[in-house]
Amino acid sequence: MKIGNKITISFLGVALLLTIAASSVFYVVARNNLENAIDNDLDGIAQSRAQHVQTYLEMLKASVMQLSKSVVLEDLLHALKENPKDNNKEALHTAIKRLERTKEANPAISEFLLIDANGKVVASNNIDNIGQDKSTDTLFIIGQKQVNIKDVYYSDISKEPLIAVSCPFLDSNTNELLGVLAARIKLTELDEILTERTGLGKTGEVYIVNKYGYMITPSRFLTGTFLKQRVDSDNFRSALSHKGSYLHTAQEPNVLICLDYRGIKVLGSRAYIPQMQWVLLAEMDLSEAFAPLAIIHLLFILTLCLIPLAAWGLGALLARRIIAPIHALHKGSEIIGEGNLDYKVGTDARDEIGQLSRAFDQMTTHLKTTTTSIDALNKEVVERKKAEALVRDSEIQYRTIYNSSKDAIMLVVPSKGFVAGNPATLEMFGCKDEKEFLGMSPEILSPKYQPDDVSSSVKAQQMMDIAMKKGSHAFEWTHKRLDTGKEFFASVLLTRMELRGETILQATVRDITEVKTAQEKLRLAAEEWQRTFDAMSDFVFIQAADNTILKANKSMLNALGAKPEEIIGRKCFDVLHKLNHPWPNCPFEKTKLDKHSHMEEVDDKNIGIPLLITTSPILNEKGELVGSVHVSKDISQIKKAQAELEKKNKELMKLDELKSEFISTVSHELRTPLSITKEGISLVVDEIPGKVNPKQKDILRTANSNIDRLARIINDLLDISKIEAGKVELKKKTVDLANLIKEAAALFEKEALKKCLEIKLDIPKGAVNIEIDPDRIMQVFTNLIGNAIKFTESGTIEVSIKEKEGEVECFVSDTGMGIAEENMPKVFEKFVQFHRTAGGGAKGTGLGLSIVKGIVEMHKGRIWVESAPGKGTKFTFTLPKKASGV
Amino acid sequence: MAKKTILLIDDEPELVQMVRLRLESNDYAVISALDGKEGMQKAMAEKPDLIILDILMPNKDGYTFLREAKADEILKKIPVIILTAKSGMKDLFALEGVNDYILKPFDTKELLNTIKKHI
Repeated sequence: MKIGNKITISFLGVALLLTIAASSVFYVVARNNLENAIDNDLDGIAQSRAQHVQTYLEMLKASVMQLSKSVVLEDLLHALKENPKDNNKEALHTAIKRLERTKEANPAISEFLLIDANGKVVASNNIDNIGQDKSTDTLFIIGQKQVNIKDVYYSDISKEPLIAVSCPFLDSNTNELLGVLAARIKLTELDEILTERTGLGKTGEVYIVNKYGYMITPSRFLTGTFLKQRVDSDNFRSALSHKGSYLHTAQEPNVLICLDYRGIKVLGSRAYIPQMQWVLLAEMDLSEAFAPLAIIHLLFILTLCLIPLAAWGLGALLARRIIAPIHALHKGSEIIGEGNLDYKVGTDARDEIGQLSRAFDQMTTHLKTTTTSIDALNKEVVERKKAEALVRDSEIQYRTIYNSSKDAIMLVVPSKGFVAGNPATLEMFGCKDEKEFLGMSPEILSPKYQPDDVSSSVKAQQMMDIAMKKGSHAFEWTHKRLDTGKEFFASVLLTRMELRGETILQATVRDITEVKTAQEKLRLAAEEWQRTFDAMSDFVFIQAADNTILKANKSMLNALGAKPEEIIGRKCFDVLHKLNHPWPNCPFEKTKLDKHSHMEEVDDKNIGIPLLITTSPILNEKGELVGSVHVSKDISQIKKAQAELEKKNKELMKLDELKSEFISTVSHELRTPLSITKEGISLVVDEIPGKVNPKQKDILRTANSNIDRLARIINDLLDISKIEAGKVELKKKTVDLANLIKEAAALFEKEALKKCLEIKLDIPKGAVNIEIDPDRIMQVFTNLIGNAIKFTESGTIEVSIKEKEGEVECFVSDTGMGIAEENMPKVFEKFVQFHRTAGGGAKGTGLGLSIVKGIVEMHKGRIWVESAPGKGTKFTFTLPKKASGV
Repeated sequence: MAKKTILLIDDEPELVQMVRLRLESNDYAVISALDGKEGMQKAMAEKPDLIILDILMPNKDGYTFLREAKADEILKKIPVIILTAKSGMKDLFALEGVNDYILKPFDTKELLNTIKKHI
């Protein structure tokens, strides 16, 4: 801490302490004095007013008592006592006059009542009162015995607060009680005593509260308080607790602070008036009472603030006076310390500081002379060091480059071989250390021959000669490692230079194997691409977005009989179509629009062969079309084959038609002779032309049944050929399938009975409505049931239909011989018959099941067979309920 | 009671011969024609009780014959039985009101029963 601050703070501290002590004492004393003064003042007021009130009350009593000695009144009372019947007008008149006179002398008196011993008002200055009965009034009752004051009350008659005084009226001679004299007195005088404001300031007041705690004198602040304003302040209660004495006890403070009837904080004192059991309260608002105290307070704080301020100012001033020269000396020494030895700090002051400053100046002068020479020396040293550092830095730089370079850097003297090599050199050539490397000639680090078959030693000499002549020479060289013998490509730069008077070469060798490899790879990739491109037998060319041919493969060039330079750079429509605008049929026009590949078969007379052209877009990274790959395929062969195929197809179709027609015709042509034969035989059998013996008849019948069989074969053949040719039109209608099955089964009743077979139907109770061609489905059932009966010797034929979701599943099962497993796949094939000899009845045609399958499939149903040889066979098929579409 | 007359129209004389034998043995009078044209003339002239008609015939086929007969006030009342080797025309004739369509080779009983249905 600076000396100046220290002085200032010390000053301030002392001043503060002194001020606080003095002010506090002064404040406490002043405050006590003031408080005592206020207290005594207020208490004095309370006591004096109470005295005043007492005196007033005594005076009231005295004045009534005085009147009770009145002879006039006594006469009236006597007269009335002696002659109660007489109205004693004269005496009454005189008495009233007397009362009125007294009243006039004392305006506070409202009225007098003269009451006889019986309690009856006999005289009053207010005539209305005469004759009233006051025997029960406290005025009368207490007034018979002693003078007494009745507490204040509000008179309904005169509409004002009153106080009443009564005293016994005694016979002046005998002291016998004649009656009671009472006076009703207005409170005006009492109020005047209390509302006297002297010494009470703006808020002080004095008022009386009766024993019930109600205010009986006016309030300074409120109106209508008479007997209505309740007072219950601490001040009031304190007075009640010391009844009987209006002097303060030692314990009770003269003055106390409390809330008054208005709820405002007041300073209050009190006095008790025992005669009336009244409490007189003198109070003043605390704010006013202690107003002088607030001023003292303010003064105190002001003093507390001002004195330290003054002390601080004084301290600071003093400090400056003392510090300034020291400060100047200090600053001067700093300047000199920084090297300015010419600075003077000396002053003329004669005190200790002055002397010190002059001694200081002498010292600096000495110092100056010695430092100048040292400075010059120092400067020289610094500069030399700088120069040395520069040389060192640059050497480090070069050394670093030399050592860390990935390029091999070496020095070679043509006659002596290598004289230096950096670490990269040793690494590149696989030398153990520099020692091994030094002295070698370049051909040792090379294969015997370079790629151009020139011996390395000869070529090396040539290269060095060129470099020596030209100053530098760059070339590629094949090197060889010393350790592994591995050869590698390198680029070499030879630079001629002078070193210590000798002409030498500096060689920088860079391994470019990777570069070479990458180049080779690139070359191979390009070659491969070109080979692939040329290998394509299709005519391929790449065109730019503006139809310029950029590249064409070998097939393309061969087809055009052109050299690449003859077509590349020209527009494709010019080269191919001999047009000066894009050919509208080219799919590239579409590719241009939507950036997708398109394919088109084209046949341009200018080209002469039909082509299938595919154009695939080439997009750049932004997705913009930059061109397309245009692939043309010679489709003349395909076209030819297609045409032939079409021709064959047509022929086939014609053949098919012919076949159908043929079958139709043949069946017709067969039927006619068959019917003639059949009818002829029938006529003979029926013996229409004449008698035939039974044996002949039998033979003829067999012939006839085979005619029927032949007819069936014709029918089935016709059916199957129609089904296969798709020439059958289903006549669909909605029928009850259950009913149809019953009909089908009925057809076979006899036949089954013959073989003792049972036909069991498993069909739902209700109708099974389904949309089918009923004739055709009937054909299916008759075929299946017929087969079942034919191949079953004993047991049951079961025909069932079951409704499923969207379809009906039917089956026809038997307990017959079954079908061998190897025959199962052939069941539905044409002209396939197993067990031709089996069963009686009509012979089969070998077409039945093929027809059945055909019909079911035409109905979009499925059919399958399950069989166990020796146990039975079950044919199941489904039919959709609704004919969909067709 | 006079014999019922049946007109048999078929281009196969041998078949006509056979059927004639059969019908006559069953007490019918038989008139025959070998083509539609002749059939129509005989039908007009004789007004038979029933006509047995083939379809594929020279000069006038069975279908044309029937259409013409149906247009004639008298002929249209004569019942017709189709007896043919041509399958697949049953529906066509049904449309003309002829429902008896017997396919060759026929069953003699079936033919006789059908005739009995009408006369």
